[in-house]
Amino acid sequence: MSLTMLEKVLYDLGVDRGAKKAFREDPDALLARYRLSVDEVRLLRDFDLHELAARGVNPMLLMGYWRLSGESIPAYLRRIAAPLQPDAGPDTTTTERES
Amino acid sequence: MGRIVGGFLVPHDPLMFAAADAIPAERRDAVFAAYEDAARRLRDLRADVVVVFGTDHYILFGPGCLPQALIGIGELDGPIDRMPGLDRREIPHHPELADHVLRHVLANDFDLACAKVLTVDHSIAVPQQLIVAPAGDVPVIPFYLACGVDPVIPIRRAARLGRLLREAVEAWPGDERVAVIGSGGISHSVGAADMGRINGDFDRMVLDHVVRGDVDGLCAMPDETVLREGGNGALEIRNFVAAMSAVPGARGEVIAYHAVPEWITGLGFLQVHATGEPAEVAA
Repeated sequence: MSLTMLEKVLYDLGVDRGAKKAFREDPDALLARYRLSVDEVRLLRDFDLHELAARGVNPMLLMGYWRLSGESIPAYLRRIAAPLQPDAGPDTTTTERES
Repeated sequence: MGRIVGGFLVPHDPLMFAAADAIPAERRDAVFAAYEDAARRLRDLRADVVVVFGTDHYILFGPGCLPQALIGIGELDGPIDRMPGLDRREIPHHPELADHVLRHVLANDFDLACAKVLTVDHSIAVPQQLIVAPAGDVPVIPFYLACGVDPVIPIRRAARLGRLLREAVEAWPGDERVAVIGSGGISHSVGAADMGRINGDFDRMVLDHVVRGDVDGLCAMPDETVLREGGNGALEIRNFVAAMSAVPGARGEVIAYHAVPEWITGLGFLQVHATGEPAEVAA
């Protein structure tokens, strides 16, 4: 578990054209190049902004990396504000509560 | 000897370019008019060189090397993060004075990293293209202070660096007139869950401190307070403090203030007037 390695991955995904391309093509293969735990790989692959931020990752890195998701800034804000629901699909950014 | 003849504090909000149409044209024009006003004022100062204090946004410097403070002493271009209306270009530089400043600062027990060739980001390029270039495109000496990436430079260190810059300029054998620019937004939150929140009260408080020339008051604010009231981007007031500390007898004048939620930032434009005489720098 390493905040510093998470920031290294996110920095590369923000500024390194080769790393961005590799992540788009095969995120698991790209992430395997770094010393990450299984849990950290999941956070990065799932764009779990809320948990990454909770672990202290610099939010400017998160914004750069979010571009790889192809989603909007409003979606970014929803995602960073709320935890992902387990086993949910990609549209888990809703803040609606279960009744 | 060289002289610091005054300065400016201005924002570098990339959304002015990346989301130019997010606000009505009249408001957008008012923001850009503030830069034009600053450019006219800079021309009136007849500066030969402009020193700009900017912020890396975790683009230039990565986890492999994160300088607390850095000066660019050689060739310059940028921005690395070009955007519509902000093209990448060569930037005039002043290697002799920049090298003198670097060595003066190092000789006075302040560790300062240097870039021998530097592609700047938007925090330097925005004031360079919107203020310095229209005012005559005089050479720029860029500083980067760690404002956006932990660990940030302690704000009193930023003030100390500004004072050392002034001392270095005054020890320079040439007669250059030097202006300084502190580049940064006031309240804004970048990438955090409260992105878009602007705190007008906090912004006015910062503006008031600058108008009074109250560097100590700005330095007395704990980072926790700045983060809570102004957001993570407000830590850029370090650049304000450094620039103000370089100007003899600094007194501020508000050129304009615009709170623009669509551009997520409280945008303050100030001129920092020099009212004091060149003097020795206190440690």
